[in-house]
Amino acid sequence: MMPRSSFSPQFADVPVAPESLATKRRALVRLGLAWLAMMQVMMFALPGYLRHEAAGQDSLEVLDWAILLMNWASLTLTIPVVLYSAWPIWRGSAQALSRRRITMDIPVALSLFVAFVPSVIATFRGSGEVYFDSITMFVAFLLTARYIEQRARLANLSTNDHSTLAGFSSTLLTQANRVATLFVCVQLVAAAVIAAVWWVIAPAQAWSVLVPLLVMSCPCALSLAAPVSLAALQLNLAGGEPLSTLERDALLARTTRMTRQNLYGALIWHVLTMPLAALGWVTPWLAALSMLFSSAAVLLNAWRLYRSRRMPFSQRGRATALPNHLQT
Amino acid sequence: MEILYLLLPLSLAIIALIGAVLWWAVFSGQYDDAEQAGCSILYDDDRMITRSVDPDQS
Repeated sequence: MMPRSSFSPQFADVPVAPESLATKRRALVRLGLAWLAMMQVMMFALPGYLRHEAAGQDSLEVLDWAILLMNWASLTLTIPVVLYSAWPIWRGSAQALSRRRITMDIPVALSLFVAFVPSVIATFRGSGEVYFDSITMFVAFLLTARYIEQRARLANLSTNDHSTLAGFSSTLLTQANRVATLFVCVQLVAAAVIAAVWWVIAPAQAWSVLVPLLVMSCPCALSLAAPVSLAALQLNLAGGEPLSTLERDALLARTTRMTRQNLYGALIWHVLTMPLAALGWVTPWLAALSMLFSSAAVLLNAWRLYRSRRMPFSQRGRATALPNHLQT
Repeated sequence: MEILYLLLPLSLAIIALIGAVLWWAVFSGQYDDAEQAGCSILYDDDRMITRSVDPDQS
């Protein structure tokens, strides 16, 4: 079997409606621009990370000047990501709000907002931490997971019996949404309470505690948990050998298990890091790194599900050699 | 270090250019089917060439 590009998990004989072609192109441009900006913003963020290592007053001054310039460059690149690439997130959360329904878009939009606005303020003031690298990275990862999941789902619509699969996906997404939204709400309330306590004890420190708390309440890993598992499942179904009903059920069960692992693993990570942030021990860049770590762990976990599709050649030969009536 | 005043806008301009090229490439349909170009050699119609080399055989 030929290796296939992840950008086109559709098969040649699947006709593509012009409507969905335009949607696909738009999603791909949003995704590509987010990745492009992410990589550049990461490089612009480097002086900010180095600042904690800097020794000597004169080198610190030069570094601060460079950081200020880099922040402006990062802001220039982050604005299109937030306004254009993340547009589906804003639109999705506006729709959800108007229908009075809670979806994953709402906490994602909220955390984008609370990370972006203080960063813009810090850039204009010329002092304080910025989170442009976290924002662009988060948008790029999330859009990638959603893109692959949607493309693979469209490809499967015509090849598998999609009603069970669609039902399975929407159940899993709804469950994950409920858990994540509840947790994000709890975290936001906790962040507000902790910041208020700091405001009473040490007002000068309150802001520098609140911002990492808000960054860490970002449901990056939580919002990736279900979509990446589903994407791995869909790619598995689309690219692998045809499965028997039994094998497919086992795969679905494994996907559910993996989503739970992702979801609760990320929750535990949040719970463990939250007290450290509440004590003021977590600097904003550390909070951003912690979010990157949990997102990467979720991605790697889902990757295992996708890898399981590639069976050894001996097994693959045996599976195709079985007569049709034995496979179903 | 003043060179940053030149280099940073330059890098932003290059990124904008790359973004514009990506935009053009996607909306002109180059990413619609990433398999097609690789497979095109297999679907090549060779009869035209054969005919021009050896007209009697066709």
